[in-house]
Amino acid sequence: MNSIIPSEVIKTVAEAVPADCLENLVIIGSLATAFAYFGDSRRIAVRTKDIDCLLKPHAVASEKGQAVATQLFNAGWKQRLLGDHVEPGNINTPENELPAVRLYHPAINPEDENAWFIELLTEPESSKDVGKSWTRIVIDKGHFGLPSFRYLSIAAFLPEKTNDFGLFYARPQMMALANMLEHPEIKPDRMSTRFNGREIKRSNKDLGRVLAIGYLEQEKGTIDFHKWAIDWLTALQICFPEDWKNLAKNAGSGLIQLIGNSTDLEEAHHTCAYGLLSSFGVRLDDLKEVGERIIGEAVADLIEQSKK
Amino acid sequence: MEKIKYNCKIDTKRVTHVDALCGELIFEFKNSVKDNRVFQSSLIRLSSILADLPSHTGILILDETKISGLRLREEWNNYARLIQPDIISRLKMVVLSKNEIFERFGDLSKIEIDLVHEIYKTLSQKDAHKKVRKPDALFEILRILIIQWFRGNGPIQVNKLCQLSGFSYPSVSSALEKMESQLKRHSNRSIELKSFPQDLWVKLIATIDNVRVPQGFWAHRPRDIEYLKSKILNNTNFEVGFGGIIGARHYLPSIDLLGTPRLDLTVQKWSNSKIENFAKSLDPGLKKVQPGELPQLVIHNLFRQDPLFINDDHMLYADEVECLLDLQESRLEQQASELLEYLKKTGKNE
Repeated sequence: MNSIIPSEVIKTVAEAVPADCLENLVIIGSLATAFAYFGDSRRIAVRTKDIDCLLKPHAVASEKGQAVATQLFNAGWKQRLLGDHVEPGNINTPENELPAVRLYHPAINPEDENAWFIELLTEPESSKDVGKSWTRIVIDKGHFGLPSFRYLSIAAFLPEKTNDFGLFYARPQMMALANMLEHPEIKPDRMSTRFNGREIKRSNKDLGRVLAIGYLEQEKGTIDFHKWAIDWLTALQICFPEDWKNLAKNAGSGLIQLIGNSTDLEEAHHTCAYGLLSSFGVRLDDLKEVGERIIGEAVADLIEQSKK
Repeated sequence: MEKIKYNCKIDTKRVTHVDALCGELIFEFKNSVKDNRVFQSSLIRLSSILADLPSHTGILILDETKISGLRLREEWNNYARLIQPDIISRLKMVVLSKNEIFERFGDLSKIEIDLVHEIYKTLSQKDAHKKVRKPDALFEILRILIIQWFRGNGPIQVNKLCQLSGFSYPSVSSALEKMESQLKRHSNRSIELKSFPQDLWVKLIATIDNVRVPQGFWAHRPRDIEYLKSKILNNTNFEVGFGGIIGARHYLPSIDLLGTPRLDLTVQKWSNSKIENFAKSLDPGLKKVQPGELPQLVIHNLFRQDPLFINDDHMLYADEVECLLDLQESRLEQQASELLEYLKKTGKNE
């Protein structure tokens, strides 16, 4: 997997997209996490290949997505031709068969297994949307789709603005919550691509990200995780006004399961040690301890609030 | 897994009771075994049950035994030579200290270990309730008298000593008899120390491990002591006295100490689970120390009726003797000595 300098990639993306789309673009995922904690540090490289760019609000996602995709294609960005649906669709293509906008920078060789690419996504149209849904965009090359998942609205809730580049990046604690909500239990599904040589359960990778964020939060000097619960509660109440209590009550169940299972925890550790925390020499026990603190403080506070 | 039955009657050639039974696993729990004969008789009893029940396995759980690991190993090996191979192959033993297994005899499966932990948790709680009152009144009475002396409170009625300590009149009288030479008795049945009882103090220090039951906790990445302190002060649900270095600084601000390497706290008559929950409320990442590990948080449980905390500006401090013992236990002997000399000098009785 490729190592990138977070601020360099953010700068590249910010310079490549239309200026009037910057305020609608939120970087989420590992790049956002890395940027949040390492900023422009050149000493810490992060291993990631997909740069997730979320367009919000949903009402303008289609329009802004078209503008971004058009400009990137015109600048020579190349479509990633891996996956089930790669050919641009047409007016008859069902939305769930549209290709996603996944593009390599012109200077990157797509044949290189470690090449990074950006992927455009959007937040769900409604808080009632469950699972994966698609928003159609139409550009010269044909029809594409912006995928959205139920909890992306949480991930991109009140994002931070990058000082130098004009676009936004998701707050790590919100991405942590989105991952926890997505995995209320450890599911058996394994990722389609191997993670540093190993097949990993998707749940372990995503919940491992929660632990990695907690670890980096401690590195940054945050003493406890009670503040997370306050941020989480606000986001849940605004994004899911009808269902927030139920979501709050169950938000930590997958993480609790992960901490209690040494096999799953070891997989999660593998993804951290060879991913976001590759520069830290993190030990499994460190991650377990962080998990205990997140559960004992942020999750416990959130559950408490949900009972009121 | 089958349900654990406690204090369970089993039918062998004669009806007998065992501490716990789960399927074909029989558990006997012994707390604070000091005498080798008690240990031997426990093995013999369990073996005789196993002789009558050929498909059962017996596990002896020893908690906080005073018998050394070496001695236990010797005894176990001797015993194994004497009894039938069929029985010894079904006999196992687990030694626990501070809630953790530190020695195993015989091969224990994961299920057996999980059961040991669960049974230990239940039965040690029962024992803890039985042991709220410590059996040896001497050192408890001595500690109270020294605190009185440091604080210049003057003579104290024997009845009041009973109240503070929670011991009966005969127990207190018997303890006082043992330190008669150190006491000044007054006509109204009140007593006080003549002077600081140096010899008894040395004895108290020497038996510190028997007198106190500290529970230590640690984390891979420990949280700042000042943070833990402020968290305790902000939580009014718990009555906790600051001891150790923080307490010592309260009594002697100029004490020669830099930093606070560990946090000593004193509580009164808390159950083990309350202590553990409290530690987790300070930091959910805290774990109980294993033998040989250095704790970052130590909680001392007092068994007397009155904790004798000092309340200064809404902050509770453990009594002077607790703080001195905490320093001794932390290997801060020089600072303990400095504080002791200061307290002796400023003791209003001097």
